[in-house]
Amino acid sequence: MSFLIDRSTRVVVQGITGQLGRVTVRLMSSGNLNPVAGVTPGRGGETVKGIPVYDTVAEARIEAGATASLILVPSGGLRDAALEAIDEGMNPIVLMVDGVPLNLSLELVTAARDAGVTLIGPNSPGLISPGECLLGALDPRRFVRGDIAVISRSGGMMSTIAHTLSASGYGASTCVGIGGDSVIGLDMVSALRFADEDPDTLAVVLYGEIGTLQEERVAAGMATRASTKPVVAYIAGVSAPVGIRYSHAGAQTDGIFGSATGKSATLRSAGVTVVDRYVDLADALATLL
Amino acid sequence: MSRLLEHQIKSILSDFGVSVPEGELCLDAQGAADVASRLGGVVYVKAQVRAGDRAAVGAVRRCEKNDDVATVAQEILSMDVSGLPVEGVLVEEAVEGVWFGYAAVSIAEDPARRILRFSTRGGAGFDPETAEVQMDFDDARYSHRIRRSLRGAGLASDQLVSVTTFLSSLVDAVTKWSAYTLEVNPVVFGAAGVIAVDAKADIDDYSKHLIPTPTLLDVEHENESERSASEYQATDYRGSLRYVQLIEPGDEHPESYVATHSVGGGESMIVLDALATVGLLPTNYCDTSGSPSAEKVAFASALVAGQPHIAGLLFSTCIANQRLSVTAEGLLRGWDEVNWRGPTVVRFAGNESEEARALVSQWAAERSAPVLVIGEESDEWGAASLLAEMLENSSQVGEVKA
Repeated sequence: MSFLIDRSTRVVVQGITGQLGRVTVRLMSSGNLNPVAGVTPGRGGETVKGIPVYDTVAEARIEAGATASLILVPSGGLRDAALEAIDEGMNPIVLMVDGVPLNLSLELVTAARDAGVTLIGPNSPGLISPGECLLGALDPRRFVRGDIAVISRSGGMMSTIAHTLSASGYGASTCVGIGGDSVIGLDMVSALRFADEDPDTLAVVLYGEIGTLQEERVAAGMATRASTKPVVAYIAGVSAPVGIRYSHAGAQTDGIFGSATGKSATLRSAGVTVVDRYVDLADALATLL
Repeated sequence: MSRLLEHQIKSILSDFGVSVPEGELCLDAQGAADVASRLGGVVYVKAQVRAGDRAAVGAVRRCEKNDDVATVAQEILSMDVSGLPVEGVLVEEAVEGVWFGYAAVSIAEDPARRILRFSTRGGAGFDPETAEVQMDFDDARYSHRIRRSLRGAGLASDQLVSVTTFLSSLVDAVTKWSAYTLEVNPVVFGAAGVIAVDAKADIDDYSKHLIPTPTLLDVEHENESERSASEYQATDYRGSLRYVQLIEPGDEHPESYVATHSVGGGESMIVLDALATVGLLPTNYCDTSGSPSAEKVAFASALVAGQPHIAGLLFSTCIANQRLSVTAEGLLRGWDEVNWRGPTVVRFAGNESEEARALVSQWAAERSAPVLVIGEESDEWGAASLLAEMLENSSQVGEVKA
């Protein structure tokens, strides 16, 4: 009941020995979703909460059977770590790092695409298939297993929405935080395609916000039946003044393109149910399922 | 991203060998008149402002030889364009040409990449999607591939080399300056070759430490609180702090002006939307997320609560992984620093939210402060409504904020 990751995904955490690495492993462990390995060059042979640490991703792949990578290293070592994960065929790869320079984002997104690897992020909180696999710094207790996909441009709102849905009885197949930047690997359209191909996902919830043209491209795809499943969306930023960069680098609009009002209207015209408050997403699902 | 001024972009383009019209930045009307006199002939007086559509609002004006350039410059200098102040005028010679075209590098989606576009047609209203040359940026790193595309689009042989050189310079400038967008419109081809007549650029803020002149991204009219928040963030990487002043302090202090402080980038935006539904106007945007230290939250909290023109304050979190008891500690420290005692709604959701609520409740009780503390059983719209009710009640009984 998932896409992108499942019970067979074996996670390596690159940067596991740092503070964020240890916190993330603790979160993963709290849901019995432990990584199989960690990687920190020069720290091979150590353990973090019982997880073996290797010097290279190649060793983690060969000795621990790692298949997917969560990268937590700071931006100074990000390029090296991400290209190593791509070289070793880790799939998917999650980049949690915020504040990645544009040229580097473009380089990594291109390298992953050329290698046929799904790169999620930068600035992604990760993804989770509740009860099956966690690839991110997410609290597993907030996610309940089910058949609704959640695709979000905000990490905090992904957890919030998944938790809100679960309170109404809707569990999640996979929740994926695609990242708040304007240059990202897996975007909303591609994530929707994965969800549509997952036989156990019955409907999709989108969290969108101002900036980029992702929601508009989702609408264009819906017109050509890119998704055969019900899609429900909430778009934040209706009242956000234009021309300002907020926290997410991608959440910026000049008022002509990428406004929340425009996105909502475009999605509605394509058959997507758009709610004015995210807390109404469950009610919207109830009318469609 | 940060938008540069036209004269700044032209200076950058010049560094990469691109020709630009002769001209000079002027900060006053007399200076503009002096430059026009020195240039002689027809000149353009162009507002330097970080907004587009200048010509449509009269912020770019053509002056014939005997026109009163000082008066024109003064009019432009006193303008706002899209709410942004004019920071100077660029006085430039008028340029003649065989064609007035378009050239730009911008970010495309699906998949995410840069694209180079070029057309011998350009000017106001030009649709980049109709450009004759559209090529992937990685291809445009090779001059021979640019030449091949230009020839394929029918560019004349005698223009080929200079246009290729110009586009290659554009590619180099985009790379070096980490630009989301670098657009030259119009680009003119004439007797003097290729000239960039007008240009705009948006630079990646995350690359500030990598670009040749980082100070160009320091906007002169940036609010003092924004500047101090940005400086704090630059020295403390534990979590993120983003502060934006949406309404500047002024003579008016309506009861609908409220401060916002949130945990989460998406949450912060939702709070703006929620406040709008109950008729409250947020004076600021503030996000402290990603597990910031108590010191960082305190710094932000003092900025938020220290605004002199707010009647109330709404603090709200998404379901956050960060330790909210630490966030609460910083929040209260900041409030104490600026002696904030006004009507406040605090909504905690996420890790250690119970401890955080207890801390704030105790703080409020000890100070008899009008603070309503709620949890994730309520949502942002409910929190906004509660704040509106508090403000309504406080105005009815004549209470004022500290």
